[in-house]
Amino acid sequence: MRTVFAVLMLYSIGTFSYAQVTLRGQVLDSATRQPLGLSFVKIANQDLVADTKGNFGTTSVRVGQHTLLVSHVGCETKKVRLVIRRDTFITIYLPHHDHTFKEVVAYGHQNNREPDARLIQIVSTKRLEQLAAVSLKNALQNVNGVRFLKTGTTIAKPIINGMHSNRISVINEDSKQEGQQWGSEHAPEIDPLSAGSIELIKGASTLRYGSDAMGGVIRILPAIFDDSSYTKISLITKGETNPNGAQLGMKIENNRQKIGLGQRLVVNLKRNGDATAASYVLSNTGFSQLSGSYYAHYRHGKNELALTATAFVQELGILAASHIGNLTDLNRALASDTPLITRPFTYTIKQPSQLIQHYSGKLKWHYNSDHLGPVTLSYTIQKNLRQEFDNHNRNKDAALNLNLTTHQLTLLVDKHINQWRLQYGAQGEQQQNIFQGRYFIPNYQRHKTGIFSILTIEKDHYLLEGGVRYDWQNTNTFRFVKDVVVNEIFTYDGISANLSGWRRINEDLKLHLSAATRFRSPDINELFSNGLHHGSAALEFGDLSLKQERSYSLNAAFNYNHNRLQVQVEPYFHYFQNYIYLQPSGEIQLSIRGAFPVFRYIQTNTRYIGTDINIGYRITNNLTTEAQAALLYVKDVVSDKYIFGIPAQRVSGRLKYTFAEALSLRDGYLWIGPSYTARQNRVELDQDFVKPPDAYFLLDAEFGAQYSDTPLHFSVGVNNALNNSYRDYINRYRYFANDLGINFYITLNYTF
Amino acid sequence: MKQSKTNISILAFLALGVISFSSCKDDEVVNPPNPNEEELITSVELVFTNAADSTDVSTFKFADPDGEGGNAPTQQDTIRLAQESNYTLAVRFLDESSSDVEDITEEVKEEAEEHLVCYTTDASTTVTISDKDMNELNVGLEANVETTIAANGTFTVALKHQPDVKDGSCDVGETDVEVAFELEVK
Repeated sequence: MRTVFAVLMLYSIGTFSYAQVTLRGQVLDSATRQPLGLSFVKIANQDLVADTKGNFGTTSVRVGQHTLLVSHVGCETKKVRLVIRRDTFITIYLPHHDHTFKEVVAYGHQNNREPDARLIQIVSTKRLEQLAAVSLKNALQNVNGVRFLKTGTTIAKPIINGMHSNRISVINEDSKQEGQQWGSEHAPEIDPLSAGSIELIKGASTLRYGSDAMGGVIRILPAIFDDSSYTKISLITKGETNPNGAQLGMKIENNRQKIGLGQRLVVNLKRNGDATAASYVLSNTGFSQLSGSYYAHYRHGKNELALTATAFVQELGILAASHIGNLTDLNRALASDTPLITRPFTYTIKQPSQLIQHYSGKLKWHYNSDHLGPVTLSYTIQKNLRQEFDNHNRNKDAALNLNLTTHQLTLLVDKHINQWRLQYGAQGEQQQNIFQGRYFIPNYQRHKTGIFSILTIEKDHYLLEGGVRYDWQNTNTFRFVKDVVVNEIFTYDGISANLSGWRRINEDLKLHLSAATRFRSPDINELFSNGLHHGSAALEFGDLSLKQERSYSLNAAFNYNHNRLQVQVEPYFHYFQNYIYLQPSGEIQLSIRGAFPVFRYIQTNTRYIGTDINIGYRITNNLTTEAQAALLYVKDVVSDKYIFGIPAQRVSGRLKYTFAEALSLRDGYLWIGPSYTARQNRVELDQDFVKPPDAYFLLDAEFGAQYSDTPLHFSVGVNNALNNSYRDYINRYRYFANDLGINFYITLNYTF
Repeated sequence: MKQSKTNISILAFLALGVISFSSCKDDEVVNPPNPNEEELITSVELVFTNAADSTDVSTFKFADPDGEGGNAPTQQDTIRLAQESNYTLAVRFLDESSSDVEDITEEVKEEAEEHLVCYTTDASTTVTISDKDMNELNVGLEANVETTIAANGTFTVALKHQPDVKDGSCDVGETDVEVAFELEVK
């Protein structure tokens, strides 16, 4: 039971009680209050069918306690307990419009999902196709509670509970996506069209995927094949004006039920030129991307084998005006209202640029053991190559070459006994990094292991879950110190634990609470950075003596659904001991290139307090409205100072009109969505080059529908409809240029 | 069946062990590139020759052998020039990060259409760039310097890298070198 729209209203028509009385009633849609004709009502041994107006009745009900089972096509079956003493009329509200508010749903134990206590939102395959998503940023747009740390238009890292980079994990089924996540300009290499669904797990409510995802987890799951033999081809296309470009995606899916083999091939191609701000071209921001995957799933008896191969190749330009030499250049860029370099629009990508490749292969074996329950064993290999080209090495080798190889092995046992569920497993990983060119981080080889166990009990009205996890890692680094290669060894280990659960207070209200402690070992860049950060005019220094950081987290959620109203409030609190972050030191260091401000990785204690709020209200049958807010307060509790780079407060809304059929269109919608992002005032002015950008207002709108009875779905939309000039505090390019101006887009999906 | 349970667990952990504890390291991992072999400009040398007396040559130098970050610069000369004089100036960029000193000036000259040396002074001196690239734009590796009255100030030399954007202005491109020398005109 996901939502609890239903409310029971009992009208009694009283005379004296007889042994046999009359029960009459009507079944209505809880959201629209429209009658639900042909509903089924089961009472005692009688099966009743409602008429087209939703009315049902029987004259022979025994006096006493009864349980009514009410169902309707497209609804979950609703259980109504009532005591009948006399002739009675009841109105039953069924949660018919399950998808009233959005495709992403809110948390916990879903219809046929496995019981657990995760605070979760899901983006479906259909939604991903309709969005024609090429990045996580596209796929998770409009999902409340996720923001993006951006470097320009294409590089975006998810922020959950105010955290990003190594405090957020991207998980492919059960193995962590490993890439060069060592800075804000390294975005996860994910092809959303290859995903069946994307789960956004907020907070620290799960230990299954590692210890270090303190802020949350984004989990990519493959789509399950339908229960028949078929071949299906889907085409997904998108064209847009800003950045001017096009996308073509194709999915071919074949399932042969007789032999238990399903296969899927996904190719996703995207190419666009320079983006434009409201009044100028953002030169050299074009990008091209080729991503795809092959997935095969074979089922035989109790065994299932799955093979996944993915490829992701992306070439992207770095905003010409952002490539600067020193503090003098930066100050000149800051003083200028427009970027110092603007050239006419082009599709050509010039230096500075990046070429990023990510390849993975995964073999998964799933065995339904009679004794152990389902056992899953998987092996994954990932290879991530990154080449950064700068102006100095034109048409030559990359200035920086990083080559990261990861092997992972995962074992998971998932045993269900009645209302109990026991999950336990282990993970092992070997990773090695090799670099060429400019020094950024040393070569290293790292080994990791982790074991965990999670116990869940689910009852009708509550669920409780407790978990514990142990992780160990060992890193061997190799770098030159005074012309000699030095091998340094770092070993960390620690325990993580959590206790969480949810409780249904009544039909309308559900509460979730999770308490967890986790730890994160210092990352290689936090230990070893030493020198100029490419293009950011800052000297960054790591600290080899950093200890691991530990978090103590509380996540809660209140879900209230009553007829037309839906309220979700998700507050969180995280306290960090030895929190590692890059702090502007205030020093200026002189060098041959001029002066540079100095940033150092330090450890302190911090506090994150925030909440995500979502309120939806159905005004009429066809009209819904929604409001969202994301609030966050972060402070270094040792120095009592604000932390650099925390997203500003934001509120957004949406007014959506839906229709079932009009002209030749079906299942159509039109929405308009304003959003307001406040100025980030919680900053230390001496810790930044420039004051935070002003608050800004954006207006988006979209219209979409299916064309008559064909499998053609289309949408047309506009972003930043007012063509406002703005800069966002969490976009690193805010020092150099405005964010994107107006954009029109059209997407088409067709399935053969 | 009890047996198969045990088997699975053992197999899995064996496999985990193989991956996790294999300690053989790739040659490539243990042999990182030496960062000192990377090209770097560590020093700027200004050679002033008195136009009236070619034997009156003075050299001033700024050196930061380990590049940006790390240690502070090791040499920061003060430029001393005579008042009411004309000098020809030649600038040299060197890589002195290793014992094998490399002259980067030649590379700058070869890619003259992408580079510009900019001079800023605030005391008694005028700098006129005398060399041009193939597009007839200033390069700045050679210049004439004229002094007037006695004064103290700074003399800033900046090497700008301006691929595709060079237009004679110092406002575009990326700064490869920027050194502010103390200046005394006596």
